[in-house]
Amino acid sequence: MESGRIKVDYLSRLEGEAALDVTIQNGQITDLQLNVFEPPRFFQSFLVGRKYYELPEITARICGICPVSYQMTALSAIERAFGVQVSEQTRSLRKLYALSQFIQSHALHIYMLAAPDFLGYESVISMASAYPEEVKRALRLKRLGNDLTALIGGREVHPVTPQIGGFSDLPSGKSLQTIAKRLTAAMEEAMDTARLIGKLSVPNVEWDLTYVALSQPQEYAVNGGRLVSNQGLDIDPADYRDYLHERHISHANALHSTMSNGSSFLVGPLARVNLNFAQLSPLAKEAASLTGVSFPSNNPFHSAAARAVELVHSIEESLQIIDKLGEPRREDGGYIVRAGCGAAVTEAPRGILSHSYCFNEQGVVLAADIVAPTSRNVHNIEEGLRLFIPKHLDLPEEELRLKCEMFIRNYDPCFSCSVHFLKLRVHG
Amino acid sequence: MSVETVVIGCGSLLRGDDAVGLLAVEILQKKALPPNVRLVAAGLPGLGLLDLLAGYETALLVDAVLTDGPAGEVFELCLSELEGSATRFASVHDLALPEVLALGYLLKKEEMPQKLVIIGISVEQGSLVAGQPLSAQGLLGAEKAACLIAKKLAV
Repeated sequence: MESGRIKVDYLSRLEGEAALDVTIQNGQITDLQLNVFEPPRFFQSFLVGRKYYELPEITARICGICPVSYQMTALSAIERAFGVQVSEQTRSLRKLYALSQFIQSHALHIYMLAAPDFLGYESVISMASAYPEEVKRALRLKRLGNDLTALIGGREVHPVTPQIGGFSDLPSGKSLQTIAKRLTAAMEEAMDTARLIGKLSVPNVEWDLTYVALSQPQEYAVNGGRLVSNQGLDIDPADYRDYLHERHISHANALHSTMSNGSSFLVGPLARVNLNFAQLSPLAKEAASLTGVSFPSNNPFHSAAARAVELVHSIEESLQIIDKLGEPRREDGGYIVRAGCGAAVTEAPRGILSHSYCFNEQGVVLAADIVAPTSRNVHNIEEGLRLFIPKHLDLPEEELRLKCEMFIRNYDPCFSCSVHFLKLRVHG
Repeated sequence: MSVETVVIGCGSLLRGDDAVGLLAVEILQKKALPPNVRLVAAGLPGLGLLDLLAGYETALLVDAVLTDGPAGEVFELCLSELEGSATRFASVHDLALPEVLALGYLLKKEEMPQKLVIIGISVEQGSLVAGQPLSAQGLLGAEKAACLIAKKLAV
């Protein structure tokens, strides 16, 4: 297509609502807009005036897929504001809890979004006839992830047990051992997932990507660590607002995130695996070789491979944590409410999730800032499309449109969560 | 007697008449039903519906449906009549009722109920509003559906 317009009024198989509008003249993109028209939900505004203990419950409702990440991030930010130190047991259980979400979310992305795209099916339903065993495997892995979430959190969606300093209820050692048997049995299925990814042919598009993730020397960072990039960023995550910037753009309800130098950046599984390959479990490293991808990779289409690697890692580390936990014991979760501010970043399945709150002496929220992973990626998606589309202008228009959708889906964006607004001050 | 029939109500309690399927199950809970029947208010189970259906001989699903007809009417539908009825997936990370059932019968036929009846309660698009209570037609539809299901279970 030398000149013309690619218009996708409603991008399908994405979480939330967005459209793409690209104008091409004489083989050059003259305009490209990823229009996130999902309406904002004003969470940051209505959190103001609520009590601190309501935050994990309320913010979990931002996302039905990643409620665990919202709870973990809110709790960490509150604990930072109040100076609460959590026990080793709580830290381990929280990691296990977060990994349970990686298992279910990654299994679904790989089998319900990536595999149909790369195998040429319209959806997982049409793929299921030719690949029944693979789709059954996806359902089993998702069930396992959900059951692990429910075991720790009390239920699989919008769980209830996490609280400041720990958990209101604990899984028994016996129940953890029971699920450990299922995790052990699922390991081969996770490795098969990496094998499947290795057979898929993905488009080759690479550019000078900046990727950002949490990182810790001793473990694969999910709930803690420093915020680092491949371009030298290395900060306390609580300072995220000083280094990761946001700006309004006219065509999207999601803000565009940039580094201090104005560049876009990538967050999510590929960023994590690229930056933290050394901390992956032994089998996850083996899975990486099965995918055929050499990490670090600058091709965003390798995100599905990174998810497969993390799926294996999540199962293997979950088993290690359960082994270490033994019989969880009830702990005193006392803390003192005080005025102050706290911020935290955790790794949700789709990338870094940032929360920042300020409280008065009664623990009432005075200010809230929440930045979802997709919001971080929107600018990067647009930038990537500007490079990806010119390489495929020889394709028929419909095929090019599908390729653009595939490119966007590959980030597994959750536009529902990405929309948030900065506070608008009107001076009169 | 073993439990061999399940009645599953679907819908959201937070979205006006979307809750009619759940209300129908609530009404059934107050009725005298045969002992081999289990009632489940499932909410929005997505793929979890397959776990709720697994192992039962007979299943009755009750849910709100959008039709051209007046609200509050009750329809009995079979699986093939649902095909193509969902305009888009509820979410990419979960599936709407027709897709979940299609996937279940395609992949796990041996676990799925041999007999599946879908009871649709007609609602209006305008009644599916967050935070709104059920409409008078919605309440009537839930009553009618519960009555129909109770009669079917008694046979």
